[in-house]
Amino acid sequence: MSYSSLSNQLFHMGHFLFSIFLLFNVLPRFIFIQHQKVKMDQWVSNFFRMVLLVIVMGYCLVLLKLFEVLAIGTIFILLILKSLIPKNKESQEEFTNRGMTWFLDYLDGLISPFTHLLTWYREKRKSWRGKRAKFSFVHTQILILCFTLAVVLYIRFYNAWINAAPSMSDAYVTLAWMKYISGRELFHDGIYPQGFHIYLATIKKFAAIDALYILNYMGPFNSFLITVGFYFLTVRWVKHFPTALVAVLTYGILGIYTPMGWERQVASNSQEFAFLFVFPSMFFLKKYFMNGKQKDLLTFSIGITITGLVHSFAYAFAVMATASLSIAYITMTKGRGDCVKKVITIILSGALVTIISLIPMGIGFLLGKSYHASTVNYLFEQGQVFNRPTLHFMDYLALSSLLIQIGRNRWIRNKDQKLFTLFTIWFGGSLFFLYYFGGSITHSVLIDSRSGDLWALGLPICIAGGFLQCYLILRRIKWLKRKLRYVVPLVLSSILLLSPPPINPYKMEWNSSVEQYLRITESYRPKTWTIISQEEGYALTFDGGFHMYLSDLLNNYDPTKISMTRNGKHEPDPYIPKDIFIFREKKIFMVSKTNSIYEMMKPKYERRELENKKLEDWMRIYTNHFSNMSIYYEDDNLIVYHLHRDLTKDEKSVQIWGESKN
Amino acid sequence: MNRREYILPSHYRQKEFNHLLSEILKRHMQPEDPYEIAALLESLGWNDHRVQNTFGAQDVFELANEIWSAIQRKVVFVPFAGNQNNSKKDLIIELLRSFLRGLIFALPMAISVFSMITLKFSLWSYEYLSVELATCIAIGTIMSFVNVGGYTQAIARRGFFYIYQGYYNMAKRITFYFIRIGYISCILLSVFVYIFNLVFNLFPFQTMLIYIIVYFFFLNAIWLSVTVMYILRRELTFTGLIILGIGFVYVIKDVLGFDIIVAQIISLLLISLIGSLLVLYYFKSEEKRSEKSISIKLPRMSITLYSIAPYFYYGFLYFTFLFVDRVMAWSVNDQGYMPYVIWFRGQYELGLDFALMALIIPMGVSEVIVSKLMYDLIKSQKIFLGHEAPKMSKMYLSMYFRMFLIVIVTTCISAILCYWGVHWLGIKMGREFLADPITHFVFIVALISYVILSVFLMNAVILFSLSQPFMVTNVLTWALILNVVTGFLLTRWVHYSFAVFGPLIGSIILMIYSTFQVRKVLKNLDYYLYAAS
Repeated sequence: MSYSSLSNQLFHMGHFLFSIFLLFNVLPRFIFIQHQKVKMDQWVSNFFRMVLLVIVMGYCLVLLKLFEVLAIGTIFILLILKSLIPKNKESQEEFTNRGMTWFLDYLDGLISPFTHLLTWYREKRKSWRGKRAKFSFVHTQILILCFTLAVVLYIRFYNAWINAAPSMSDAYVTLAWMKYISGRELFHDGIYPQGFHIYLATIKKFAAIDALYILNYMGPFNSFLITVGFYFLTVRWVKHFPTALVAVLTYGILGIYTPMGWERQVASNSQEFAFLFVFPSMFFLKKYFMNGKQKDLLTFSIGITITGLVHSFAYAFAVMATASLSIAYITMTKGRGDCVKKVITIILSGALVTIISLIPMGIGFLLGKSYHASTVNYLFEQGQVFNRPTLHFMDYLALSSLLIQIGRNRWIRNKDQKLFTLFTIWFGGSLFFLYYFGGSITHSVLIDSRSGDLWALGLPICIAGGFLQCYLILRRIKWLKRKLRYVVPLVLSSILLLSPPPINPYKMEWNSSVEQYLRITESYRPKTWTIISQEEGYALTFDGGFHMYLSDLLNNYDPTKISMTRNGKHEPDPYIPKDIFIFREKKIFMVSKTNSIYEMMKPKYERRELENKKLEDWMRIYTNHFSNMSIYYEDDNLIVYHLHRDLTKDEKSVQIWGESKN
Repeated sequence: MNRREYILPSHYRQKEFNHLLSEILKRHMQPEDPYEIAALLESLGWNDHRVQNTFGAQDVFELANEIWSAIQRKVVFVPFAGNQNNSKKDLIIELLRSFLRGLIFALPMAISVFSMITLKFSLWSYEYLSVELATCIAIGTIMSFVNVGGYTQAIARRGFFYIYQGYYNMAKRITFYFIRIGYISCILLSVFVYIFNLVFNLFPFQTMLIYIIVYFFFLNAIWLSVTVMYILRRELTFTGLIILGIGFVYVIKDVLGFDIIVAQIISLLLISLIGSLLVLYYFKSEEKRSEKSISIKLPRMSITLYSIAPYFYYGFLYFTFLFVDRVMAWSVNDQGYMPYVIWFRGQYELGLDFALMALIIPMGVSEVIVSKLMYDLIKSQKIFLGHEAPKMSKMYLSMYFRMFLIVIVTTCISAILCYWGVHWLGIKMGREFLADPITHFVFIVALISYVILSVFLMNAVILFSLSQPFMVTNVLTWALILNVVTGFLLTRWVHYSFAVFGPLIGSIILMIYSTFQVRKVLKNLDYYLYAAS
């Protein structure tokens, strides 16, 4: 079954989506109190809570060396039981008696579960028919939204469905860290927030598919959720569907024209995962400001805590958004009422969230780990000269939208819309400032390279805010009012015309190489095979099989002796499994010369060229001596050799029963 | 027609009525009122339908009134006299029979071990299996025991209940009812495992899952047949079936040249079929011999299930307790070597299997001494006067502690014999079974666990005999939780072989708590005897 085949993708996507559905949709309904009145708010709140639970639980279980399905499953079951079983004794008895009576009645033939099911089904069908009959404007909106989101999905997921090789260089780090977490190891390469990797590892445990699929799907899925997050923020805040659609289109489809790293939309990076919590959190903060309910404050705090536990830079972004909204609220209320109290509460909860976010770091130090070196270097790296970025159409559009909102602000009466406008002005303004002047003022490489991503996240709400104000102005013009209904299809169709092709990021190795790895994992039992290949193979094979660097084979193993015998030894290496796969690149895989990482990779490519030539000689000598080597796969770029050794009867017996039978 | 004439019209009914009268009087010499008689009748399995069929009475209460009138007319004064004492020879024969019965139960296990040592295979194991298949068979076996545990207890409890009264037809119907549910739950569990595996990809279907389900299903069928053979006192038949099964494997594998797995699956299928047919045959023949083979409607299923639910629960908990440590040990992902969620480790299994042999003699001894205790208890109810209850309790308390010591001493001796036996056998056969440090370690800890567990088993039988199943299931629930938690934590923090401390700690809790419970019961023996009657 090839990687891109429909059946393969359906199987793996099915598992991936099922685990997400189970973990973040089904379980939270049973575990947490459902306190939100609006379904959409409740879903987002459930998702936030569950992600936090998964991350906190993951940290605890990894630390205790208990991170596995049995422990996670037991915790979930206990939490569900805790919420299902009534608190007081009388209710508990009633609960038990009801179940017992039902069971005994069933035994005596007094009731029939089949009849119950049939009645339930008939009622559901009746209510569904009733709803279907009232097909309305809302349904049209849903259809438009679904269609738009389908396009957003297609642009992002196409790469994951077609290309087996992970996207971008960071993918291998993410893959390895996810597997370290699965192996109950925290901060393997130094202290770095592990929230995203715990989230991935938990999903992997429930999806029960190769980690590579989780990695490939998670990137597009995260950026899709960010897009949905924009919809949620705008539609719930200003309650205006066309505005929400504009935000979705700006980020989901026109993102290619913004200064964000478009390729990152399909790469599984913790930064993007952290971003997805920022905007929905702002909605709950807005709700807290408006109605003062603790449940909204809690949901907001949970969202920000997740951001802190996942990515420090995204956390700073979330703090910036929180500050902007707080200032907007103070501006709107002019500090009257309980405004000060609420803002102080936010500051205090922010302090608490910061402490929680720092706890993993403290744990890392207690474990004797140091910071993740390259991250720290990147964080504090200073550059020499930074030019101000060139502005494009989308930047000007966002800036114009900000100006419109500044102009309109005084006349907005609706409180929700006013707060949204003020938030957009403060937040959008700050992001633009950071993007345009940040690099040249601070000389920080981090700010210079990543501020574009932040500004790109601000663009959708700036443009959506401007669109809303324009829409409201135009609606006042009598002859235009009725024609405004055509705005949605017009905007949608014109933007879809501009729709970019599916995102295809750069790779680090041949697709066929990854496909052969998947073929091996499907054909051979885990831990019974070794892959000998370049560095990329390590992250892939770790956890499922064993990996050896090509250089180790060339330096340590004698091709004139059978089945992987070390230099100077006479028997095959007993620590190497019975099936060995050697990957030789006929053509060395290289990223495009225009890619920023090419220069960094160049020495590696030269070394690989040399190693593959040496491997060719090694193979020639081996095949001259022995016949137990076969070709497992071959194409124009790659050849995979297979070396097999049968286990003796005694070796098998020792494998099962230990040394006792010898 | 006069109702009285209607109730007792025939000779048969008169005979049956007299028999019932004597049964009631055996249970209670002087019933308080007709309601107590009605309760006694129901406890004997009489319901309205059966009463109507047998005596033509409207319901149990009407029959109770008749019996009450008969007792009032025929006031009997029976002196407080001791029961007829059996001779010492009879007693010894009876006790020896109990002991052998306990031992015979372990015979199939001994034959399987013998077969493994000599032929290298038995009905469902093989020395040179791949670890995948060993894992499948182990999972299938564990699932079968856990699934069937509750049904075996239910069948034994309810089946014995009718068989002791000679109602083989009723025993057959209730037994087959439970067997049917046993099969249904087996099929449902198989479907669940299949779907669960489809979603969570635990094992590859063609190379593993199919074997897990096949072994689970056939072993399930065999255990259900064995239970019926046990209640019909045909323990040797099962031993014969095991020998026959091994013979089938031998023929299919060595003579016909099939793969061992094929041979075992075919043999399991044949043995489960033969077992089921034999059970049917035994019931038919017992029914023919029995005078009470008339077809009477069974009590309402809700009542039956409600009354045997604790015993069902006990069976499920007990087998889960026995096997859960294996799941803990085999699910540890140590040294990065964990291809699937559960991976068989023979060193651990061998240690436990060898240790299990230490239970053979204590089981026989336990059967003997508990039979003796129950025998004396029945006698004592007629010997002791009401005000002598404390004296009776004291006597049985001291008797219990003597039994306690006997079981402990016997089990310790059995454990030492087992240890040296395995060692000696290894030397004799030139294969050191305990050479692997893990097997050795597990073997020793498991031996200690089983010594302690044997006391609990004795206590459980006593509490069951006095109709106090909840006292057993309560402690078993906690012991199981402790077993799981201890095993899980120690295997993840120390080493997979430390799973064996789960049953050890569980057994300690079981022994201590159940001993306290038995002590509590024996201290108020008169009350518990009354409640049990």
